[in-house]
Amino acid sequence: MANNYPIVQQTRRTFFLRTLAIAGILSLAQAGNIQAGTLQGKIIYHGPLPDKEEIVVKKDSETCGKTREVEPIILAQNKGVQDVIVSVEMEGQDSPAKDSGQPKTIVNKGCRFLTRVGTATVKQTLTIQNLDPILHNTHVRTSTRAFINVVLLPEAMGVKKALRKPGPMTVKCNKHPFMKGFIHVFSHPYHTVTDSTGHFMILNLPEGTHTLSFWHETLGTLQQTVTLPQKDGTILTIEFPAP
Amino acid sequence: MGLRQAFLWRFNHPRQAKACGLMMSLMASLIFSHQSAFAVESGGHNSSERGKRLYEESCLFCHGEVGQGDGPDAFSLGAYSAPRPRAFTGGEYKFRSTPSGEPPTDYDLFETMTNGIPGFMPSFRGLPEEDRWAIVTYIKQFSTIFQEIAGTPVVLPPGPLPATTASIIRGHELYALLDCAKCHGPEAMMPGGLYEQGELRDRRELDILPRDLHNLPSFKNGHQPRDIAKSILTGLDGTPMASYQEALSPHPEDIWHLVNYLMSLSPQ
Ligand code: HEC
Ligand code: HEC
Repeated sequence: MANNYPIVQQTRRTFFLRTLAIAGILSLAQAGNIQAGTLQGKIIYHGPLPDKEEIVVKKDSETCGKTREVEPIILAQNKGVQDVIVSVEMEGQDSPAKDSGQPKTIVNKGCRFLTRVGTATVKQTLTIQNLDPILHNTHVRTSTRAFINVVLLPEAMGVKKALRKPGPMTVKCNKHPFMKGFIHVFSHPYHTVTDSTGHFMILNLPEGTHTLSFWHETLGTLQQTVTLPQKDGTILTIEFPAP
Repeated sequence: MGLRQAFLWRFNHPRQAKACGLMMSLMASLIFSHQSAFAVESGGHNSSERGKRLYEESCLFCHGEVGQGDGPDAFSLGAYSAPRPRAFTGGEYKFRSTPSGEPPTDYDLFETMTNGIPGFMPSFRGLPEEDRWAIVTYIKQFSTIFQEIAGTPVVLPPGPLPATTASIIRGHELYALLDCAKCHGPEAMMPGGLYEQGELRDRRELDILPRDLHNLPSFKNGHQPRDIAKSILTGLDGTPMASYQEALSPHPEDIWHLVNYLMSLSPQ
């Protein structure tokens, strides 16, 4: 890790949560080996679930399947929401990206984007690959323009392009319109995506009060302030309201 | 020959630049870098005043006062059908010599303005050359993309290659292999399946018609072999027509076979 990276304070303080409007706090007594700058949380949703959409695949169904089920909200048994982008609101930092150098990869496989919802840091390289036996056409767009729109041969090791600007981007395949993905680019390394149980963890956050942003493709955006460090093992619980 | 003259030579005789390979790309980069120097030179205060005035006289009706593609005439062109006049503020351009996602070079913009866009935008060949350059400088300031990224032209493989029967047959094969038919239809008898299913949209989510590949003069980005190669390699950003640079990389010369096939479709 580079030297000018915000130093993680090892002091342990009780954590303090400013806004309680939509947040519940769940304190797990599990004493962990967690650093003070670590933020842990879980995102839940109790509202009604929109119907799953079943799309009939008209082309390349040997590879893509005959139908494709699209779930507007992917919810775990414990009501945890998968694929929420969690980030800290922060101006660009001098610190280099935590994972700069490691390429961020979008793989076309089984006519799906892996990862479908992801985050990246400016200066990281985006690699687009195709592991399918058919052609794909990966079209990545910022809110105003194409980042890249490129056709990939079957089993193509793919193209690489440096991410230069922060902001949300959408990923589509012009050939298979049911393929959709999202990648949000940040100017700092404090971002992640919730796992299949709705949990997330952001490491090495500077101490202090931060505004967190939560973005979900169907549920929209929420913001929440939090003060670090949190107590060991504390899990912040955020609930998306029903629309 | 001075750089400026070299540039003018390229402009006056763009199709004579038939030298190939590395030499060509070296020259191109010289020429392209000279253009930016030219644009900077002419980007002084007077020139930008002039650019503004010229823009307002010739372009505002369609492209709008602040370049948002919403000029008074834009509506008579049909507000709900593609293509709308370009919103320069978005910084996204279809007709480029640069890779997908990069802004066009000054020369690309100059060429678009000079040639016009068949069916959608008149040619401005009638304006003095310096005026056209002043407008290029002016429309670039509508988007910051030109400061962020300097578009670098892609290098075309040596060519064009002669349109022999073997080349056209290979091109026909590539047309099928590369799935062009999904949008342009089998044998380029348009429109293809994706259009029929309403899946082809432009940046404004408006239905967009794939080009009729049997009608060379309707090509928007020029219809000489090098122009067509450029369109296929770089893609038309803001439309579903993607860049095939990567897909053609195993055999770069294939682009010329594809071009020969496409050119063979139109009556001579
Ligand atoms: C009659 C209306 C009209 C006028 C006048 C007009 N344009 Fe356009 N222009 C268009 C339309 C429509 C498009 C979009 C065409 C397309 O996307 O296929 C366009 C697109 C463009 C593009 C984008 C090309 C690209 O690569 O995406 C440029 C550059 C441009 N115009 C420059 C100009 C300039 C400079 C002037 C004035 C000298 C001008 N236009 C005048 C209608 C007009
Ligand atoms: C996903 C759909 C799609 C695929 C696949 C596709 N195209 Fe296109 N193509 C389009 C659309 C849409 C346009 C028109 C864009 C516009 O008018 O702005 C176009 C335009 C073109 C043009 C016209 C450029 C100009 O100057 O006007 C050429 C040439 C072309 N395509 C060739 C090809 C070839 C060759 C292939 C296969 C290697 C191909 N296309 C694959 C959608 C597609």
